[in-house]
Amino acid sequence: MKKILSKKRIRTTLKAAQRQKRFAIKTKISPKLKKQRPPFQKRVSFAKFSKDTKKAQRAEEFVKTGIAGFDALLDQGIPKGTSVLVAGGTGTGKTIFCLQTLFNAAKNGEKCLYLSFEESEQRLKKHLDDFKWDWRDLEKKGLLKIVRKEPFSMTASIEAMLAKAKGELLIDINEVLEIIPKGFQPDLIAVDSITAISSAFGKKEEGYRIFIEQLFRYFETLTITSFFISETEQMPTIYSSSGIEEFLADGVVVLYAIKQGNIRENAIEVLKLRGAKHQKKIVAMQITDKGIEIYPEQEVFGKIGE
Amino acid sequence: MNPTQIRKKVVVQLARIKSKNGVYIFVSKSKDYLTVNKEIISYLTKNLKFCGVYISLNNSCKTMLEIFDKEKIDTKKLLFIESAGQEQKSKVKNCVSLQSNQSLTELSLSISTACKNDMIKFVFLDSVSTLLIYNNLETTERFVHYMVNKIRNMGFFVVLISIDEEKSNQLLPILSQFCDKIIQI
Repeated sequence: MKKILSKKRIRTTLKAAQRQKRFAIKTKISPKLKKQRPPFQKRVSFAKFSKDTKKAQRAEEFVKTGIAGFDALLDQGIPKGTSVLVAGGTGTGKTIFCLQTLFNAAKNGEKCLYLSFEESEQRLKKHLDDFKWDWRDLEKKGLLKIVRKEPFSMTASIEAMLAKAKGELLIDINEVLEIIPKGFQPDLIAVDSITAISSAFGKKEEGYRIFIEQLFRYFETLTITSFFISETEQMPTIYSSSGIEEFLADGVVVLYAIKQGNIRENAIEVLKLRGAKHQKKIVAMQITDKGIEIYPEQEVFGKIGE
Repeated sequence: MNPTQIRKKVVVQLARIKSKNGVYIFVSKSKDYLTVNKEIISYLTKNLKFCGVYISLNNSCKTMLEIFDKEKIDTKKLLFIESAGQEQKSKVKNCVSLQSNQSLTELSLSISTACKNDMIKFVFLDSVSTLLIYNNLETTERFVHYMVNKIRNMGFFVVLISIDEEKSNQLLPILSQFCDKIIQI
């Protein structure tokens, strides 16, 4: 027995010695091997190249607003084909935010449609002029279109359409309402505002809910990046009139005019954005002569929720 | 204290500070406050030859220019931010007028913009006590803490003026946590 045990012991100690030797060789050789290896940068260059290519491909899948400071709140931008609710109280800059985004996108060759249910085309164009945004050339090129729709006249057609298509999952809204002008295929749409549509429906809340859901889906199937303006209280806790729009939308951007003594300070927040990383903080915003400017690093000192 | 004594005290205290950056709070009696301001600015611009930002929450830029001109302080070395609730915007070239004393976000943005100038070496806030008139203690603390940290990281010499009175003195224990020295004049 003793002999067998000692043989076993010998075997294990031999194995351990061999392992140590192998380890010693490895550690001795490794500095030499390191020298023989190609320089670090050369080794990663392919990986870097493929990473850059992937990044560029991914960048094509996102929309940049071009608003100074806003895109810095987002990791890459707004995913193409998603819907964003732009919510805020009166005078917070919702219309300017959407006009500026669409104007910048149109300048980059994207087809944009501004659908107004409130202000007239002339007034909206005057807003663009006030900020010295030259829309005329973009309109000529068919890149920017501003269309005014009467919400009350639309409601009757919507109700008839919904009654006819009861039970259908997806209704071709455009066939009846011609929301998007014929022959115009936009990449970006702004709807100003869903609050105006909602009030045109009056007490027929169910009809409105079905319609708004269909509208979100309709833009989604056409892969249009859409912005829905929603009028809220100055310090909102819900971000739309029915409360369902913020669930339907992929993103919610909230604009604030925070009361500080006898003045108001503008601020902005990306509340949610499905499929994109974003900063989760309320930051300072100003409406300047050049449009909206956002300061991603600037804290707001007014009290939110006061 | 007479003006000569104030001058001596301010100069001695400033000469003791060897660092060219940091945050220093000068606490003075309300009657001596303007003299203290003049002496600090005079030392920073004449002795240290610094250019800086002067944030005036009590007087208009025009008034401050007149005061400094009398003291033969080179006002070209100063960039003013006035927030004294002026009805008309200042026409002075090196002056930025704010909407109100209450817009701390706007004030903060203006300071940040002014500090981008490479010539700027110091930031002078006249005064922390005035901030407390228009804003509550909590908001003022938050603002001063945010601003001071931001400017300190940029490597500036920061001077905060505080009046020796009850309300402002409530702020001092908090300010003392993030400032380098509190100097009583």
